[in-house]
Amino acid sequence: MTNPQMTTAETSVQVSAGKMTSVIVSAMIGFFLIYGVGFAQPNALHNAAHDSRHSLVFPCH
Amino acid sequence: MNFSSLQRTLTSAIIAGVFAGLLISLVQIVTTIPIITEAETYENQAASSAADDHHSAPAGAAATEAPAAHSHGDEDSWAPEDGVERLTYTFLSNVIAGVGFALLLGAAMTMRGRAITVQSGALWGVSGFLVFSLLPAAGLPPEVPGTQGAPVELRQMWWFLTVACSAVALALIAFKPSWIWRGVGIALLLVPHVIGAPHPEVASSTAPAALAAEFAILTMISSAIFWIMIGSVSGFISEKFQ
Repeated sequence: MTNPQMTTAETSVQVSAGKMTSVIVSAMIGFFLIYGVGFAQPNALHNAAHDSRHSLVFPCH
Repeated sequence: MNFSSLQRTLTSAIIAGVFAGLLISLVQIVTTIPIITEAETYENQAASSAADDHHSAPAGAAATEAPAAHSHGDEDSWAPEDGVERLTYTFLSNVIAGVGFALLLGAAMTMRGRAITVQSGALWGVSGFLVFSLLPAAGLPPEVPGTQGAPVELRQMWWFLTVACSAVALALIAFKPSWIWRGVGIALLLVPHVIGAPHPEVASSTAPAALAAEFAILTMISSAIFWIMIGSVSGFISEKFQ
């Protein structure tokens, strides 16, 4: 989904290495946190996050 | 101060996520949590009457059909005590979810590469709500405790598929100037719903339908607030960092 826009020179995005690092690192940490709070199956984790899972509409038990 | 792109994304995601997580916890206290608690009383009643039936009925048919009690198998598995402890874990979970969602949104905003303001951040938040809340809920409606669903692994897989398809689809529709790509986006948006969300053969719930309906509406309203907060606070922080 790197989308260098083709329309004008002004909008053509040169995705720098620093920007890509920031995209990948934040997406990975974000994914890990959401997995833990919304998806992980161990009972203790499920019970701790229970009301949050129901309220934020994660698929729950 | 000269922050790197990563530092900027992480900082604004953490601030926005913590703020939105705390705020949404307060919203949940007066919206969804009372309904969860009420649904659990129906669930526990059903579980205990099913247990009684099991003792009296010879075949125990009623007991096997009744939804399982809320302890999820192990009676001795840890769970927070009702009251302050349970609420504390809910606050904590919401803050973690807020930071997680803010990081995913931050990754998308960074990839797009445009400056984010409070207004455009709020719009990003609306798209997060569509991708992570509304579109998955169109196939798997919000469930109160005591609802018998398809196996959780199947529902999680469908949820993940829907989020992935919807995110790519919205990006194509919003950012691609060509109508062909927008058409592809619309098709992609429909794919998970054509496949269809997993549903149990016999749907059942211990809570009254009216309670489930109220819950569905309140979860959508509070999720919308959550996401718009995440987006607009992220926008506010990145304006300050400019």
